[in-house]
Amino acid sequence: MNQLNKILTVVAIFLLISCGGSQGEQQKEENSASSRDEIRLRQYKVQGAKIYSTYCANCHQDDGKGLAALYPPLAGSDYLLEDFARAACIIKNGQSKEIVVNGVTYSQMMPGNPISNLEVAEVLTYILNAWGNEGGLIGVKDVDKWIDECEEDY
Amino acid sequence: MTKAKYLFISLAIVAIGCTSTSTSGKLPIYGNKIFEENDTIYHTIEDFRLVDQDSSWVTNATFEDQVYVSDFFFTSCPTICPKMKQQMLRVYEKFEDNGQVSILSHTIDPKHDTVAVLKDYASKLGIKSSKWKFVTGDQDYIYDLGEKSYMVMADEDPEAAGGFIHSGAFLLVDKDRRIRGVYDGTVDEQVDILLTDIDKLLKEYESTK
Repeated sequence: MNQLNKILTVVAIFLLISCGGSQGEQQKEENSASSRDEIRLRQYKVQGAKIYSTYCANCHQDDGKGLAALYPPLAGSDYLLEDFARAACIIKNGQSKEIVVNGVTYSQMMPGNPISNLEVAEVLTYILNAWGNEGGLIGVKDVDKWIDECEEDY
Repeated sequence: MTKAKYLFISLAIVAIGCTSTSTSGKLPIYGNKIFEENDTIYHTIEDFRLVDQDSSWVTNATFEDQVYVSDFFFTSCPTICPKMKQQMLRVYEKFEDNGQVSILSHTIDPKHDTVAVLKDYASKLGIKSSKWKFVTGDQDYIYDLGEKSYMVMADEDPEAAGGFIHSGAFLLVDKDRRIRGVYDGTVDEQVDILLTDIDKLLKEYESTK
């Protein structure tokens, strides 16, 4: 009985250690991947905020609320949040078509911006994670792909 | 060292002098003054005639017994104008029910900014009353008015974003057509000052009545 108990304990401990060990490894990997993303997210947001204030804030305003029925909001904007690829294309190339954002029609033309794809990724990351938006990190590789596939005009 | 000290002290006195005049209640009067026997002639806004978003003539007489805030912009402006309009909305909202205060926004791109375009712009901005007039007219005439009367610069420049360069200034004009304040219409804090200056200016008229 005693002997069996001892063996069981040893086996249990062994299992615990081995399982715990492998779980720990996985956790570590996930942790380092997510902390890399976390750092990149923060960097993009900081850079993006600067780009935003240079190229976007005049019309969309510092608080992302836009201006009356002239310039659409970015904060809580259904049009923005439903299609990140389209958002990247519009940031880069501008927009001339009429659009509906949160039920309001906007027709003011938006000029394109002379910025790199990396900067598009940064400013888009900023916009998607400011004022209550929760869009997460937008990588530059995604932006490269999206910009290549932009429609003629929006 | 002592020289520097004197300079510092005299600067301090000048600075104190300036603040004390600006807090005394009366706003300064801008522009060149001509002194004649016992009389000072101040710079005033010249006679003008422009058309607003409702196709009505706007002249000096429109603002009789009113103070007004004036600026220069264009509707397709991608740079400072939206910021200016956001700030001007604060003036509009604060004095919405005050018949003594008006707003006069001149387009510097009349070729594009027709009466219909200005009407659309004003209504999209949420302007319902005729308190805020968006005016258009002959381009050279408007530039001339801006430069000579309001002392602001506006010009066509294909190199600039949107094709025009212009000042983001807001000008406060009193009931005697004199400029009493100049503010950067793109800066929150400057427009805070404008809002309190309008109150001060209106008080001046109360006390002279």
